[in-house]
Amino acid sequence: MSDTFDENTVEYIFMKYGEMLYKICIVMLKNSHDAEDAVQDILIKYMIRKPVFDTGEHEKAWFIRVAINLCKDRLRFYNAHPQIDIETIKTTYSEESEDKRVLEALLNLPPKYREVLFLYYVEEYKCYEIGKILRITESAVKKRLERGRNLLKIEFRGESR
Amino acid sequence: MKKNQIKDSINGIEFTEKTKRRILKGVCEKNNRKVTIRRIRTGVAVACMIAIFAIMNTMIGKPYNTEITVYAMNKEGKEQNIILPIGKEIVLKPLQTPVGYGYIFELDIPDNYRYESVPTDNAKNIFTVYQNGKYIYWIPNKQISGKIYSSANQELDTDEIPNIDECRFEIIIYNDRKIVLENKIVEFKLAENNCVAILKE
Repeated sequence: MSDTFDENTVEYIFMKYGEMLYKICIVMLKNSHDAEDAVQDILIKYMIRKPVFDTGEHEKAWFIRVAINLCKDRLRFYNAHPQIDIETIKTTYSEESEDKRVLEALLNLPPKYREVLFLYYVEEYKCYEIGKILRITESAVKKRLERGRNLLKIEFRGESR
Repeated sequence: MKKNQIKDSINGIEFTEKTKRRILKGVCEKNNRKVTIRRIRTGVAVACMIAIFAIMNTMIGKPYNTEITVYAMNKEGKEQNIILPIGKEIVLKPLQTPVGYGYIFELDIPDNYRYESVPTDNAKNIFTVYQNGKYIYWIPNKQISGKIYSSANQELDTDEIPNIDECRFEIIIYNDRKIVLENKIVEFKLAENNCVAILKE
């Protein structure tokens, strides 16, 4: 890797995928500071590896996979070193809105359901595409989606009460 | 719960300009830190390699400093052993050796090392020097208890031995890989029943 920091490339990539990566990291890590830190690490990893992509979809899938893996690593670390999280994620909607309650319910799900629900509902990937990104079978994706949706409903009802 | 509510709830997470600037600034800082750490690591690795190379060079490349100990009588007629100093003449008197009356030289080389003593003076190319393990015997007169051989490996009658009063031979020391580590030249001169030995490199 060259020592020069290619600001234009990083900025271009950040403009292209920054928001998506930030939101993946927020959903996975449930903390904006950790999410910012994780996005920085993803961009640095991109600069170090300098991967060559066949298509734009390939490129996007690489960033999603790196983001999810990096978040999982951090979650493993946090499980081993628990800490109190007092941060409230800033949203464009109000604290009392239904969207906020859905987000809170989603963040209470285990990470394996959060990642699948994010890719399916937000990035609108098909089940087999999610399977390729996460390197799991399509049927596993479908099972996680089903269980994730059910858990989310339970959580949402719990939040609503 | 609406069908697209998950998407709406996530899309509502704020991603402000301030956050964007903070992330990009952090990337620059982290990258610079990584570059610095990498340079330090490279420097440390290079230093370690140089140190290892220097140590290896000391252990392998440096000539093996063999000491040659000579066993002989001193002027008072007592048996003594002297480590031959380089370039300094040592006066020795002969003593009884397993192969006759003369001098014993011992080389302090490891067991897996080998050496050979090669006469360097063709005019006196006769085996007055015997090797046995780490010991070299030089018998300067005709009082030889064993047989002696010419360089053509022919057994010689002790009466045929020319009167040798000077001998010079080279000791070549090899390591276990048969690499020459060291060459030493030992010169002997007989003078009035004494021997003057000098070690040269």
